[in-house]
Amino acid sequence: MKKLTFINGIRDALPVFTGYFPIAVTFGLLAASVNMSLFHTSSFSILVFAGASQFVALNMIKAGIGAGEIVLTVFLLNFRHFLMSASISSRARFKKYLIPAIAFGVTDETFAVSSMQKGELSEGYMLGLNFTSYAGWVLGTVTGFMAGDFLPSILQESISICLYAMFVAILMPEVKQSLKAGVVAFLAGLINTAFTYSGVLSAGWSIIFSIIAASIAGMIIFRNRG
Amino acid sequence: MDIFMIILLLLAVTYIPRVAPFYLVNTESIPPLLKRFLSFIPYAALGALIMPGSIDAVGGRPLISLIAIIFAGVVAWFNSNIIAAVFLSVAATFIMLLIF
Repeated sequence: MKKLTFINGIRDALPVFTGYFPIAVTFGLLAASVNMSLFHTSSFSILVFAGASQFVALNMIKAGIGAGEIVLTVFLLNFRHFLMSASISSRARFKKYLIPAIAFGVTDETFAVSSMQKGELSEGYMLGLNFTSYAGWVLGTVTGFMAGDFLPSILQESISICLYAMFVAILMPEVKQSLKAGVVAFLAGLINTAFTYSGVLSAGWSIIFSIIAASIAGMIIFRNRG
Repeated sequence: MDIFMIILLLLAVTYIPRVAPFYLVNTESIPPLLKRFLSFIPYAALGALIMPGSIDAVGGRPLISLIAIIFAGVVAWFNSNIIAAVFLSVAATFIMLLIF
């Protein structure tokens, strides 16, 4: 099995960096617009590093909602990463002292990229991938705070397709190769869509439940194959 | 509560679920059933991340979002270069936004 290097990780992070940067710019300028300090805004992205939930938290802080509720909401929104980290750790063994740094960079996007790699996930690869993505998030936040709305809006809107296009582009070759990738992904998407539009579950629960339900369905449907 | 205190609490509740599985799931002693379950998570996560969120990718333009996503899928189907698919999808979105 080909061992993936630090450089492979940086290269694979390029679409993530491109997608993160403008979203983080928006986060930075929104934070500035509600009079957060540069210190608080940048610590948010440096310490929490959690996309959509940072926007949710920012809105809740702005609305004067209590800390307990903010913390619980963000916890639920991001708990899906528990499943992703478990999946990564079941196929790769990392040096103990590097685990805290590797785990910090587990996001939907870095997981999507790393989990579909056929080669051996080395510490170098994970760090190259996760920290290039992290750099996009942190640099974008600071840029947005200081420079404000500098990207032309049509460009900003176009780049907003980037991360979804990346998810689809990662999934397609898998679907081509095996039926189970397509079936399980489609099932998860269907369940998540049903829960999202019916409003039965909150966004955090909806995605966690969809991932678990579709994975179990996959185990049952494809029980006779590897 | 001070905003920095809230940020530290958010660090704790996002970081713990990210890091804990690396200590809980030991690759050498993992039950086969659990390993199989975990092997499906990448596909399930991708599906749930794409649907229904991608329809809102370009704010207020569901049709443009849908076409751009399908376009990315078609490009990736014929050429599994992810960067090419992403770049072409962004370019297609840009052109559609210019025209419509």
